[in-house]
Amino acid sequence: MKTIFPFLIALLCFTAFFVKVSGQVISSTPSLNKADSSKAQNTPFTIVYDIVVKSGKRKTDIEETYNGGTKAVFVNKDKARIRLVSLMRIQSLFFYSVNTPNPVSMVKESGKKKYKYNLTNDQWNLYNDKYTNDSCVFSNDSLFILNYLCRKAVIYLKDGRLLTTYYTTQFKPFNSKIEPAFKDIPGVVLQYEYAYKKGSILYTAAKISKNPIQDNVFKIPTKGYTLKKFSANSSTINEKDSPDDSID
Amino acid sequence: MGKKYTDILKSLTHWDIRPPAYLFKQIWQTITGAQNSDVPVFAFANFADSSNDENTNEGYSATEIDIFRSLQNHSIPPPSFSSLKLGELIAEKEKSSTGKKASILNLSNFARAAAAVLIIAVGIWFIYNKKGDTNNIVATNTNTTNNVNTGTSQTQIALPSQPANTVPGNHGLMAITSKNNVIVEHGKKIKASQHLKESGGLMDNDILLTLVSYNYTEYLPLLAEIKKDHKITLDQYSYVSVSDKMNDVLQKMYATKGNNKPTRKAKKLRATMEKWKKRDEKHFDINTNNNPIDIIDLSEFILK
Repeated sequence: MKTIFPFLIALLCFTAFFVKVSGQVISSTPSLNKADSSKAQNTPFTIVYDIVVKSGKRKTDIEETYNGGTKAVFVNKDKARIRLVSLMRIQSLFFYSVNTPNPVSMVKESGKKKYKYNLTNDQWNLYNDKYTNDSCVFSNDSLFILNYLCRKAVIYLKDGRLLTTYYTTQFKPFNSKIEPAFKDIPGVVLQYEYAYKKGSILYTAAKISKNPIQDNVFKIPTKGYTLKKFSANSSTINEKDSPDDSID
Repeated sequence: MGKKYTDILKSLTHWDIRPPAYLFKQIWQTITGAQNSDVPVFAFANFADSSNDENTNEGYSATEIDIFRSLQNHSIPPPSFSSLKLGELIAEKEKSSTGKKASILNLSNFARAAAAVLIIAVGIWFIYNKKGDTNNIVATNTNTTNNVNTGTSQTQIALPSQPANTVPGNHGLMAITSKNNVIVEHGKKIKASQHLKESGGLMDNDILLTLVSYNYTEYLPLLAEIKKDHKITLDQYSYVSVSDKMNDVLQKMYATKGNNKPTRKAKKLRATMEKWKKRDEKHFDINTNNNPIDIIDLSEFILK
């Protein structure tokens, strides 16, 4: 007890100081928070999410190649791009105005076989069929993310799966084509989580920028990319029989 | 004069006086308290005379022999204190010795407490400075309206408040450091770091492929950088935070033997990485119904 006592006192002092520091950060309101939501729709907007994978697995497996990755959403007027960057792969989705025949392009930017699909609206809807007829339950639970007050909303898919989100109304929502899962959310989602089996994936906004975005960010690459034809009935591989190649 | 005294002293060295025969008896009677006057004085005198001769009892009376025998069985009882008292005495002794040690321990505690306070003070200073930097960065970011194309100086954009959950071990997540303020163009090889720049960028624009294909000697500086920052930065908006688990795997993957060749485990890990790559390609590239950018599609693949 005599040995622990000084440590306890020191810990108490440390905690008190730390709480004070944290309190300052939370209570401060940077001017970025006072964004005029009416302008947000027409100005360039970039949001970067950090991806955190929580796995219940004891061994290190493929999920670690996505853990720590980022997802960036770039929006500028009628153009948008979502880019996933992880150890395993870099992949982008490009969105253009509805008037074009293929308003969505999926591009795999990494690996030996880089490719792209040009998708029609219907084809893109097939990818997001799971989000049709979903429902959204709003709650008063709140969370500060990047100093934005976020409210909780739970999205229930028709098959019972659910997504937990925290959104801010300080920015106008994206076009529902860009993030079909969030089409019912009256703002921009700054955090969302999906739990599956013993694990979960959490996307948390790490950065928001309204700086102008370079045009070539929205330019679909051509050189070195194979143009693949989308097939809705592509082969479904039985991966249940795949061998256990996790690492102890 | 002096010579005369010296001679006397020399002659005295050989002079002796035998004690009277009854003296021993009187002494013995004083010791034993006996008043046996029957004991002949000469017998004691004999005993005294023959005290050096242990092998003979001749000349001793039966009374004397009895006395001797009784002396053989004579014992002196220990002082009258119980085992309990003995225990108390030991405890008291220990207590006194513990007390002495306690004073030494107190000094040790003081040193420990001082060390703890010092460590915590350094910790507080570090956190406070980091918070201060973060606030400064936030302020800078708020006031910045530069086009992302034009800026080339180093820019730090930080999270004003850390999200509730972060990648375990992602200590570098508080600040996004970018050497290039421009979003990377397509078709160009993305530079993950200075080391990657020197070695020609990412192999096939693929981080994992680059790490798996990396030369052992070339990897060491990159490994050091990953260990330091816990992340690989591609550009302002693209970075990968390497988790502790993955960092551990990468380090094992680059373990070498004495002859600089990869260990058996390192080879096995590389093979495992390649298997992961194939699994991922099968799921997302061959089966076009799956979208890795979609949270549900990704979760149900990697967490199954």
